[in-house]
Amino acid sequence: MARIEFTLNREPVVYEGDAARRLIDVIRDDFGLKGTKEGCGEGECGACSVLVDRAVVPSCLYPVANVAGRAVVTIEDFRNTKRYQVLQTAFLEEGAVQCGFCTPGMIIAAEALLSKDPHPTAEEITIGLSGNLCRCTGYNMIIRAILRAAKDGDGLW
Amino acid sequence: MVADRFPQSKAEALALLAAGGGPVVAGGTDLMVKRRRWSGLAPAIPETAVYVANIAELSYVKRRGSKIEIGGATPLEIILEHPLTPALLRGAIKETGSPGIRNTATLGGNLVNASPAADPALALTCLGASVRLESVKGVREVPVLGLSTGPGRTILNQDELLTAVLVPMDDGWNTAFVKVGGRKADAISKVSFASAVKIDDGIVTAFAVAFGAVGPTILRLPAIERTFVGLSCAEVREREKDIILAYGDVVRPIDDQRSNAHYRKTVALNLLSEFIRSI
Repeated sequence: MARIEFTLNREPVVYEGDAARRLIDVIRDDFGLKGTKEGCGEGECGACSVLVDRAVVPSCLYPVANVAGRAVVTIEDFRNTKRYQVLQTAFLEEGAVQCGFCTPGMIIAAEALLSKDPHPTAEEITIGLSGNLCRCTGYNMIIRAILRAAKDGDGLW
Repeated sequence: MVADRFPQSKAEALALLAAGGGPVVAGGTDLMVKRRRWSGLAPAIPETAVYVANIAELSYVKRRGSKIEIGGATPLEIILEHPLTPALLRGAIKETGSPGIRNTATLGGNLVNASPAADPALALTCLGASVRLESVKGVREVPVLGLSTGPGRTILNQDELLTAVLVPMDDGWNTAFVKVGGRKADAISKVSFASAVKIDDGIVTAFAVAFGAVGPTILRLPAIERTFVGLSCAEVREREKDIILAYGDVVRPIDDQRSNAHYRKTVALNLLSEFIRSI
């Protein structure tokens, strides 16, 4: 049994259990935060993306041991921000959501990208989101949505 | 007692390994998949595992004499963005995983995972990089070429930790990294190829090529490479057929879920031809 202290959505939390458990299982099953989705379970689809110390990571590959002392943010907390509002509006306006399964991961990856580069080109967006798969929209709408969010949310990132 | 399993320093990690701890878990991007179990169950990583990703003193990029030294637990994304990173290594990391994987995966993990298809390891092999292996008993420095003895196998002893990677700077070299995969991001290479050549006044003064995913380990053959040093560029180009024949004997890929042996060998030798013609 390991005892791991970290910050989850700005609240200090303590995890007690197997240190090798996947962060996604801890987030969803122990803390009941179901916004983070499991797609492939092997780091290829990005549906499980969360922020660890503001960087996007695949939570299905992340042993909970490695979040010790770090700050984890999931879509449930990010949705309380102005940045989220701008991204949500842009995704809706551009038709970037269809079934929605990839969307939390896409939003998290977009936040990580815009935090690093507030005005990315379409090509930079493609690279920033290269770890996230969407089987419905075909990406063009998602890329347009992020370009729009960068413009509409100018100054937020 | 429990807190001991999460070493805060290199010394603590080495002490845990000396006491029989292991395996070492760095970013976990390979190990968490290899040891994966049914949904809901933790991956099969024992309680004795030593987690090193949070050891701050093992995460850095710095100049050391004529080389760049990179801490074993440095995430790939940090290396990608660092201005000191040699161009060939940067090129390989750019093609590795996705931003999320690169934020998580470490350079030491990429080497010790010992996949013959590993992209950063291929660049390091081609550049003639070495690694520092440390245990409580001492330190040794060994070349990356020879570190792996087969898929998932290395020369590391149970109590050793890969603490640093020493990479020669490649300023003034012509280098290239080519990856053939099923998707632009997050693909494991079907075949990969790295080259580094130094040309002074039309004469080849250094020559290195390495292949990924064409055998049980990354393939680099210094004995063949040495025969090109001292030749003019034109002379090297004239020997294209002989070079392809020589490498054709040793490029022996396999069939697997990502590709097949025939395709891999054809592409690997075509990449070599293209490189020879470009010299």
